[in-house]
Amino acid sequence: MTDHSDDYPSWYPVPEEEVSPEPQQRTIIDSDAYPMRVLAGAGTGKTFTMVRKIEHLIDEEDVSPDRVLALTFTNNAADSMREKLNAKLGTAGYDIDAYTYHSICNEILTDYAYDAGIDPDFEVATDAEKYAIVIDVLDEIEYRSVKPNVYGSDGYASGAASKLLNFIGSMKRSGITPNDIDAFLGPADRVYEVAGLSERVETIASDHLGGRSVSSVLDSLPDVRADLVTERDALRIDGMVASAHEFLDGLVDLCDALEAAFEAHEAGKRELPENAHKLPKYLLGGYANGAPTGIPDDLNIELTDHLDSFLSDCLTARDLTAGYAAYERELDERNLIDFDGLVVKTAALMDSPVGEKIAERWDYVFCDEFQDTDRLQFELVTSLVTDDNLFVVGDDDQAIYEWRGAHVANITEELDDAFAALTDEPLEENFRSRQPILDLANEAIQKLDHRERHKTLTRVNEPAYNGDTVATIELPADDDSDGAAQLRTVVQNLMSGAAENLDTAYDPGEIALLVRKNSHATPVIEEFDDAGIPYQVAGDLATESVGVRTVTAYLKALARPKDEVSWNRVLLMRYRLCDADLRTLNAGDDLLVETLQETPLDEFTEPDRVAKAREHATELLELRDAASLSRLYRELTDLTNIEWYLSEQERRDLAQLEDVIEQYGDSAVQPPLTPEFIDSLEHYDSLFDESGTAPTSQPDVADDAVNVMTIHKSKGLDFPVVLIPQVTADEWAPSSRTYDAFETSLSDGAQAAFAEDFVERDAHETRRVFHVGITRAEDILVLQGGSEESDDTADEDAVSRLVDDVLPSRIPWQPKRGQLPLWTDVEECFPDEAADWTHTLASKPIGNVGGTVTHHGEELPVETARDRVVHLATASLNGGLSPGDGRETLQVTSLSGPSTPSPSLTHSYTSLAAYEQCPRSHYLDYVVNAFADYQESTTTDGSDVSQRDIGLLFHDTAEQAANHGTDRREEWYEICERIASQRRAEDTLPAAKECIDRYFQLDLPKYEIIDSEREFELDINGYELVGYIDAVYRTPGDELVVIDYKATERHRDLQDDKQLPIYLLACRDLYDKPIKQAGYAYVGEIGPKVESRLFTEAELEAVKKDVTESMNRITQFSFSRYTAGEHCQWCQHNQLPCAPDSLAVGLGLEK
Amino acid sequence: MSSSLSPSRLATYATCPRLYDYRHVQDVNTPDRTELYLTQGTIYHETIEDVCDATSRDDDPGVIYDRAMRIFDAKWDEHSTPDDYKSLAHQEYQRVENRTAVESFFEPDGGDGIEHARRSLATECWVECDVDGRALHGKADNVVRTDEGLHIFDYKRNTRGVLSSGTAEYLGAHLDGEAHEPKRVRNAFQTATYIEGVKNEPFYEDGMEVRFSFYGLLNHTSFESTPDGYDVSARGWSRETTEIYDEHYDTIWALIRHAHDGITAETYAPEPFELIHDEACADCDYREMCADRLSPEVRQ
Repeated sequence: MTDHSDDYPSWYPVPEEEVSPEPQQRTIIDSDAYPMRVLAGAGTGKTFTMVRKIEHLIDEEDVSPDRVLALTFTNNAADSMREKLNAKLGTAGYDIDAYTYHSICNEILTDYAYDAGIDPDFEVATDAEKYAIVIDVLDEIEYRSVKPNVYGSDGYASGAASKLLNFIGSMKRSGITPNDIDAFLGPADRVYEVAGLSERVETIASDHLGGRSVSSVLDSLPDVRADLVTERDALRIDGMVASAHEFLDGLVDLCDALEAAFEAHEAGKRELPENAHKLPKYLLGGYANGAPTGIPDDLNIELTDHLDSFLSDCLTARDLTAGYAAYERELDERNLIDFDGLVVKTAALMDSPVGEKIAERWDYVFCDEFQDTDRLQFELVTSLVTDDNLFVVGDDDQAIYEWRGAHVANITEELDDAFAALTDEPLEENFRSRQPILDLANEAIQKLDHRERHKTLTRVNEPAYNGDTVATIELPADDDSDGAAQLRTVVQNLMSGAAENLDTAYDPGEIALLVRKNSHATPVIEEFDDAGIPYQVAGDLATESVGVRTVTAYLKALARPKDEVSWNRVLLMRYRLCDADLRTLNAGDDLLVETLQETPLDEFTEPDRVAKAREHATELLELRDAASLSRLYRELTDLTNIEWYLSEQERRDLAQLEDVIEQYGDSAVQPPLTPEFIDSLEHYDSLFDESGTAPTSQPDVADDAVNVMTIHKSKGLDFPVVLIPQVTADEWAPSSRTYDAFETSLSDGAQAAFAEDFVERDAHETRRVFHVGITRAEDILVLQGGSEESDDTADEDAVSRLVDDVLPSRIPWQPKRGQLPLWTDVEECFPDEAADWTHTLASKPIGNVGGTVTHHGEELPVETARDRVVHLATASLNGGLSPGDGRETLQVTSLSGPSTPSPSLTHSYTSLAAYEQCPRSHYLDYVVNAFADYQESTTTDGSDVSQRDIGLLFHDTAEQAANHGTDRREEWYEICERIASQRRAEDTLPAAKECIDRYFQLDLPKYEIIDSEREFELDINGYELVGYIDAVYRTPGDELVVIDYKATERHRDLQDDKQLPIYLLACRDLYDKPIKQAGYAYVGEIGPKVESRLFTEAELEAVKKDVTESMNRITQFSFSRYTAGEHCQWCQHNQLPCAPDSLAVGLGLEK
Repeated sequence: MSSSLSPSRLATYATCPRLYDYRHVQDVNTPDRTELYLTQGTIYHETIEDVCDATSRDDDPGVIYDRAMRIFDAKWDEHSTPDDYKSLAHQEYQRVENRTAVESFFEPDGGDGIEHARRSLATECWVECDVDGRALHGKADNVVRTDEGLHIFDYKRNTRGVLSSGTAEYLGAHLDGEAHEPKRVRNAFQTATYIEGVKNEPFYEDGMEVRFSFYGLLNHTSFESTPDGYDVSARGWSRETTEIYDEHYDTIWALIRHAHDGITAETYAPEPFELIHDEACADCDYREMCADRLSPEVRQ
């Protein structure tokens, strides 16, 4: 992300001597106090500290690595932890059990399946499987208050299936079972008896409290109180009824408080605002249409609403519980466990007699991101801890997953209660953000009431910098404006770097747009599209790009051949059929796909195109039923070359679809493409909106495009520049959620249902979300927002104060709850350094942004030029191009402006080799990442397995085998089979197994393996060179040797080799002991053999010099220099005129 | 003499000429869509048709009601299939809702359906007319004899968004290319076709008053939850468009001529494009294949 010396890519093995812990970190690392809790602020290196503490235990305290369990949330984080430990501890690092909170459950359940009473071959249910089950159990729901509609005017979102999925999710995350709910609610009759309660209270208020003065209302209050007491006393005190009882108790208290206040007024001891007499009726929901005149509209405190929503949740739950129970039965029958179920079942297992034995596997338990754990995960962690050896790190100020079940109190009170001897250590020294950004983050979070612990973030080792750090943009006054154009201009200015307020120019990959909700991103993305700013959207923000929809249409057409709309789409967009040919295909009564296959080609205007479409469609339809979905998709993309028709942006977007395809039916054998898959694809968004945003997934970050994601997704990431759009009270307003009170009363007892204002709780969470967003920024934080003037009169304020004053303490709701004046608050907190960009960087491009193009002697901005090109193309198609137009070329004067920095180059052995071979191919592949030429696809019939895929499979097998310390051929086979099956690459399996056979004929398996797939980053005279070392072995003579596996047929000459010396140079930084010997292990057909030799220091220095020269030359990269030769036949760009004529194939482009 | 067209085809053209091209000229199959509302429409239309056909002027309301419910049950069994629904519960809910609507319509004590059935002259009545050389045809759900003449009814699920005196002015705006109102234009086309068409029927006599109404059988529905299940009720009423037709006669016929001539001349380019693009593309079944819609997107 950045070149700051204290910041490394997450995968980078940080050698100890380069980064020493800061004093606060050192205290924690060296301490032997357990249990320990570290409340660590953003950017304070909490994971780093945790990893170091584990190292310390192993290195200094002689704790065996396999006695340490480290838990975190994302697979990325668990992998990175393992990498870092491995970098320091060597293979011992792999012995540490680093898991996610879910994967540890998977592991335990697999190992103790018998004790848990489950089939050890269980699978984890995918979203698609959950969807299928929910649809299957819909008839089990007892429809009374839940409407049986499965879909409505808004699709599936409000239908019964969606309701059931949400309900199951909410309940399961809190460990609430269908039986718990049955017991809590009791039979339907009982629920319905209580269900009318809020209406009865409102009627009582309406009947008695209509008086027009304080005195007349005062006279009626005793009657109201008496009626409420009667209602209350009629309620039994168990289950949900007890919650209702508790609520009425609160209202009785309220009557007393109102009576006291009104009496004081009558006795002349207290002033009341003018309309105070309306307040009792209003508070008890007696007005049919909300606040009457004189009571502020936004007071928002009709208390019966809360009872009403609780009772309505009870009614819904009464219906859905049977569906929930059926869903659980179905999971069992299909031998599936869903994500939440993993934790539920493990927690239950830990509670059984075998729990102690399981916990004894580890002496130390380390937990990262503890504030995101839910109630069940808390139980799980505490049950895994023996002898109080627990280390917990997290940040209560970054707790942003409460809305989906996280229990923030886990890291505060719950931990206090569970471990009396808890030691607290702080981490407040920040290594990420500039101080003014931290000042704002500190101030903004201070506005949180009831904040448990107070941290103040302070930047240490701040590098020199000359530019704005916190910048604000006032949203345009126009109500309809989303201010997206402002952000487009800001990004253009950041990229050009010409403005005085900027220290430097920023690459798109250094900029992040972090949004509160998806809708904030959409308009900005449109502006980026328009301005040609590259961006990458993270997982949960759906994009609808044209190219991706064409790929989806191809899948739809294959799944449902009668879907002629999708066929037409594919024929138009991929095969570029002309209107006349499309009409021919659509004519007649036969299905289009049949007409496509049967009509004589001479009936078409462009028969070649139709023939191509026919060939592809026929082949893919044949494959459809036989192949897994992933395989079909792979064949589809290979055969049709459809990616070639996509823009760079569309290719990024396509990755999302690929993820969904990969995940579909994640069982041993992936199902083929079916209409059901298309169904689930279409309803995916509306049904799984929530599960898309979980603390368990972290997106991949682009380094060459503006990263667009929700703040939730950005947790744990950092960017030099962060933009947060639309910071306004309305757009960030918190809202209550279904089942809040219901779930709380089930978890914490009936009395807890009305003990907390959940909207207030959400408002706190919203502030923490904001805090997380702010603290992602390193150099510049750009906040765009605005606020509305409040138009409350003084008298209305007085009413609000009276309510505040009179509400008994047991009633948690405050007047004007849910209002979050975020922008006003932020404005109050702005540090002195904050700059207003509204009329500068947000309003006009500074410097030469975007570049110009000259045509017909006219200098055009890029956007105009683009329109001109389209216009000329249209004219040429229509035959309307004037002779002059055809000859006049567009001269690209500059496309990105003079101030744009050169593309940053990272070298690798492969890129250097490419440069040596042909500077142009290097330029295209490694400097500008050019698209490959359109290639005529070679039809794959299964026999044509690529050498590259075989090599990849062997390498990955070797890596995993090394990680697991596996040295038996059968175990290698197993790993290889598993990987092949995961990738649906069974066709490469036989050849990869042959490689394994050859490997086991070598001496290498007898050696000790020290390292595998070791990633390195080498600095050679200021140039960055990266790569992977396949393996490092220790020979029986205690010598280390670097080995590169070759599964190919090509033989390497060791004398002139540069690859191995580069690896040896990299090893200087990675190992204490120098390595001198390196070689190739041939496991392909020319093997088995190992050829290695010693490389002298002088040889290494010579290669270093050689490589430096090479990299010096590469700084002069250019498109114009090239070398033609043998290699052109494999070049991705061999349709350029530089390739020998013999290769002029493909589209038959004129050279 | 041009070919005869139905109000529905004309309305498709008024929605978007390219839509007409895809749907009726090229006849492109759309992916399987949910059929349940279509099937439900068939069920209540056929129920009303059969009840009207079987009813004579002096049948007892109770008899008519029983007949209606018997026919509805048979029609439901005939047409409704579980395949249209993701759950049996959903199908049952829809059955109850539709049944309640039919019950309410044929309510012996004042249900509108009683008179509709007793005074029905013709159901599913094929009508044709030719105005200014533009031939139109259609099928009227029910033609009822009133004291003053004829009243044609078109039965619908509900009349939300149907042409009303308050919205009739949009017809002119649509004609001028200032607004996109295909649904109300369609209502106007139906009104025109049936009012003019019925005048060519043998039962029409000179001087008869001819009226046209849409009838929304499920205009009001309610869902009430009880400890034993749920109760559904539904109620319908009509919305008459005869006066609107008279008041906006010239506009409506100009709209008909425009669509009719466009179809006859095979002019399918969507115009005015921007308006159609903004208003019609989002809900169009052919949006994913439409070159007119895709080309501006690809330019981006």
